[in-house]
Amino acid sequence: MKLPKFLTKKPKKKHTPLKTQEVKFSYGKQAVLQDISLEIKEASITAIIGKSGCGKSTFLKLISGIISKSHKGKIKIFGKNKTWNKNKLGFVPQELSMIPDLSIKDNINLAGLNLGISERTAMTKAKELLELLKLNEDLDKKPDELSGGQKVRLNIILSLLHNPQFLILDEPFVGLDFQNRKLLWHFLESMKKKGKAIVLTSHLLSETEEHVDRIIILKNGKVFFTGKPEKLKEKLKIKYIFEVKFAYLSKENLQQIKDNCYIKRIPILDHYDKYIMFALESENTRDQLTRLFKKLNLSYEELSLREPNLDEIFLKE
Amino acid sequence: MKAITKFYGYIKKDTLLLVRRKKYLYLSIALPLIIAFLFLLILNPSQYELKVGVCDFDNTEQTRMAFTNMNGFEAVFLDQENCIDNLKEAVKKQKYPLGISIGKGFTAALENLTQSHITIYYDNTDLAFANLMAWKIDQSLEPFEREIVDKMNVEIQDQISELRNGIDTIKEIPESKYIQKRIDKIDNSVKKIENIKTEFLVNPLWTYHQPIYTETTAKDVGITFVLPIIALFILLMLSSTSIIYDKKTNFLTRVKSSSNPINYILAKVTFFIGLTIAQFVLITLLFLIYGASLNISIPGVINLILFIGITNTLLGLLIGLISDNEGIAILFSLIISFPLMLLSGIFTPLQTMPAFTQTLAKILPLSHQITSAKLALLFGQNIPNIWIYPSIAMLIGVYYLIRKQ
Repeated sequence: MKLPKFLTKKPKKKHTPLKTQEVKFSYGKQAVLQDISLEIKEASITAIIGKSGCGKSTFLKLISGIISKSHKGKIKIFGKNKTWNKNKLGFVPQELSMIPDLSIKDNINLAGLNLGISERTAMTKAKELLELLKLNEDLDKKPDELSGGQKVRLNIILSLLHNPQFLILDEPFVGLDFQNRKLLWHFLESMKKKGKAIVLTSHLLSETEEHVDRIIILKNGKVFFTGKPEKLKEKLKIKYIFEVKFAYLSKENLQQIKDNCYIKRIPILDHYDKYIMFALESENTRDQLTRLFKKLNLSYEELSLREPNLDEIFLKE
Repeated sequence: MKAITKFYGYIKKDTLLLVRRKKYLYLSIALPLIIAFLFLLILNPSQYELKVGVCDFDNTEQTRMAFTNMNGFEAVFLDQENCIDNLKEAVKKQKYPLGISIGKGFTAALENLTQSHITIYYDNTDLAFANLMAWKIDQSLEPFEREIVDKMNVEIQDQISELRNGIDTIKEIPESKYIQKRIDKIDNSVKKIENIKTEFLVNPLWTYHQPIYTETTAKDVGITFVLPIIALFILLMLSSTSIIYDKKTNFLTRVKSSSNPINYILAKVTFFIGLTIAQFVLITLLFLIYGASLNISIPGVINLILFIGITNTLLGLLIGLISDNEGIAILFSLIISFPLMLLSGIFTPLQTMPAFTQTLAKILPLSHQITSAKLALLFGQNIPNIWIYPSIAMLIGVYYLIRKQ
């Protein structure tokens, strides 16, 4: 994807886009973030993953200055306090941030002015981005007349008009169909190639795994894991996913399987009706399970052994 | 049965919402309580005693007695030299809410059974007080007037009795020099009775109401109340709901992620100052077309618009920031506007309220805005800059709340 010229301009000085040291944050007595120390490098895509309420959105809002409540620890954006480097930062909120009573054109102009860009420049830049992200709509329309996917793309465009070097996206894939997700990933990868640092949160772990350079897993406000997606699988010692669809499975049978797996420490990731999904450390474990099924006189309709994706690992956690 | 269950469900839903959304609950209790409390204060004024400056040019025992015993007023007799000028100045400076001038010959006129006059000097830019004063003075002089009518009655009885005696004497002594003298006396008594005018019988004491600002009419004064009150309502509602709109549409999120919120606050204040200017121009034009005559001070008007625009907008923004939605913001705006209006002196005079309420009214912004409007629009003067300090405090508050959210 060929990016518009204005998005390819790079800053003269090079600094680490984001560096945090022992960041702690709480709402009243409830600790939301605990000792978050991270570094985001330029020309990279980082995904922050975690269950609802783990603090990922709070972390994004804290680094982008939307939450201004006092926190402990240091947050540096391009080597400076976050307040002084907001012009290098682009934040795409999870909730659409458009004024519904104004036209798309007015929204673009206002977003540009908010970023310190003249209306004319904002419109020129926006038109390039609209074309790039295949949003060829009448600009006199109101945002509510757009589809969900179109709104998300417009929401992103409004945060890019000032050519941010560091782009933060809070759940950008929510509500997007496959085509739109593909388009957005393609776009983000092109941005990365031009040196931009991108941080996003997502629930689509399997999809994220393919596109990001680094995953950060937050669990109860703490960094549970940080590194490449492959490393996560290693850390969790899940090599394979073994799925079995039984011909018949009674409640007693299920309990017997569960008890055996508990003793042999074989995690069951999911089960419903006659279907069970196991997490395996090695192929030997599969043999142990098939022997167990034989012992319990259980016949099966389907068996499959495959490599796990991040969603399944996340499910286990 | 299903309908009843549903009906119960709907009531339960609203009850739960009222209880859970504490702000609605508190406001719906607080609003009627505050308004009822203020009405009680206003409708049942305290045992007030207004100080009245008196120029007694007649200076008789009767005038001293009459004006010292006025119900609800405390007369302060002034030195006679330049008395009227001093009295007007004292009323203007609000040393006395009222001034009374008793002309020379006041007592003699009453003794001669002719109507006497007093002149009352009052601040005609204080509409509520001026209206109250008109009947209050007459009411308080009523005992004195009753006394005069009683005296007149005795006097008439004396004169008639004198006439009767004379007539009887004439009847007894038909030819005598003495007759001529008696006839003259009777003639005088008859003349006296003849000269009693209806106006004296109806109203032995006439009070002239003399405004201290002779060039100013109620039409002129109206703008000094209307402008701040309209601006208060409109700016509180619009600025509070505008920030809620920006929160709802996430525009505030964009602002916070891209710049310092101070720009945003200043832009909001500037926008609403523009709106205040538009309101000012429209209202002033309307009053001028209607025939009002204003003595406008340009620096005073600029200062006044800034005062009204900035304080009300910042107050509205504070309301918007602590409110969850437009409904709460409008309730908050009402809860603030109503007491401010009730204590502004437009509907009921502040002078008759308890000391606590008077002090409260003095520190409220609307009373200051009305006073400032009088200075800038009626008296051609600049206004004091005291409003800047609370505005700075509110600006800091708005900034803090935006950062905190």
